[in-house]
Amino acid sequence: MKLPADVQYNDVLIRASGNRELLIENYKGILLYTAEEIVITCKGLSLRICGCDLKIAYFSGYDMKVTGNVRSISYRSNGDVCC
Amino acid sequence: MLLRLLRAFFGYVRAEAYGFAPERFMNLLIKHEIIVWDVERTQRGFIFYTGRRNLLSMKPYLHKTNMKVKVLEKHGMPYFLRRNRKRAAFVLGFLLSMGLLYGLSLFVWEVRIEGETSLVAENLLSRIEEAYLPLGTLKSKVDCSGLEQALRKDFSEISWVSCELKGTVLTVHLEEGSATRPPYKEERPGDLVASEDARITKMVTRQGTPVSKLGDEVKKGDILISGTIYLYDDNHEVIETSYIAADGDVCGTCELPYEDYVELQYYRKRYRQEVSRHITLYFLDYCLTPWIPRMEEANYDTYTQIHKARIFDYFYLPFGYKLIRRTPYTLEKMSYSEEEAKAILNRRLRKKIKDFQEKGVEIMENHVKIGKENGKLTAKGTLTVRKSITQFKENGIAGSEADQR
Repeated sequence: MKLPADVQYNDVLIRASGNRELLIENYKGILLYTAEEIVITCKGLSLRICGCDLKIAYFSGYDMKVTGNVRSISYRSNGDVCC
Repeated sequence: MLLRLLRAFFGYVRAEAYGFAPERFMNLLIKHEIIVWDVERTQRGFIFYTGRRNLLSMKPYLHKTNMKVKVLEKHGMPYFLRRNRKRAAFVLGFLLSMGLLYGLSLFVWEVRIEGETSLVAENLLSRIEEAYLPLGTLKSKVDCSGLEQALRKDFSEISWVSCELKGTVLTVHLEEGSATRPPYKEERPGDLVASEDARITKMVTRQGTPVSKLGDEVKKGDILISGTIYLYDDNHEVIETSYIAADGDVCGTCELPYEDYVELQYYRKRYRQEVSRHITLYFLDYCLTPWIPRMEEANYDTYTQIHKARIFDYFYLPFGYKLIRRTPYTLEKMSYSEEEAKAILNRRLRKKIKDFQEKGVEIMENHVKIGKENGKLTAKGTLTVRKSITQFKENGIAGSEADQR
């Protein structure tokens, strides 16, 4: 049986609406939150969102919505956050 | 929308968290599934919205991360009630007024007529209010179909009627005469009799025995077509009699008296410029007039405008105010010249003739003469008209009896 990766490996799930809105599921926590950069920890990696006017519309234990002008989304191994 | 309503119902706050480790504090909130929204970063921490109860459950994590929270704004019903807890009378008044409004919404407070042309809405309204539905009737007791039937019976001009109850308003939609009803056919045995004195000019018998013939002079009540049918044998003796409802068309010429007059001397109202206004408050049939301005003139016209209190279009209430305007006038003696009076009489006569023609009455001759007597101009005489002169009259024999015979 082939299960989706987010169910099988608990991978992070990102849904982007253009560059204005990101819906992130299966995340673990927030490492950094500024208007230009948000770093989110996920299983085995961290997610780095760069842009301007970034804002967390809401967050709960399950999902998080980021709005603003997103310029880039990049993955980094855990522990390699500072750049 | 639902989410907003729930938040408003349970209450929510806008707060600022600041201190040593904002991100750690956020992670603790995530871990313990505390929902926050509209998170904005500030110099010393972040500003967020969260539920009233969430704020209380954040307390241990604040302590753990050495953070502090400052509540900036409070929204929602719990905070509103707390702010207004000393205004119990206001809340009581509000609840009372709501209850009163609900109570008043159970009655009919307004009747509207729509679609009338020749019928006068006022007559219909007064008939409805006097006979069937006085204002203030419980809505649950209103029988719309019964009212429709009663109106159709009372006003023959109505060809279609529908009653609609919406809010506290009963709307009567009607159509007049556009769809003509089939002519009523008598089924009980009877005769066609003359409705007035006339000379018969046309006669068509559909059912029954003709008694009169063309050119006959008949008096009111004379039988024109009898509903009794005799069956004769070869010796001209009646062997069988049957009773039916006579049917046919009988037209005749008859003389209609006409009389009208115009007083040559008359009074005309000369209105003055100043108008006095005042307001009367009313509740059901009770009125209260706080102040009535003094009126010097003995003669005045009163114009009353009723403003009923209502909520939206269909929620009328049994109170409101009346705006009363009184315009004083003086009477001025005037007189018509004979030509003017004659023109008025002629105009009225033409209108009368036109009304007859609209009803299908044919004017054959006009013997109206205009003359002067006792300071007034009179139009007297007769109009010779041709019209239907039939009228059904039962002969008093019951249907079953008639059949047996």
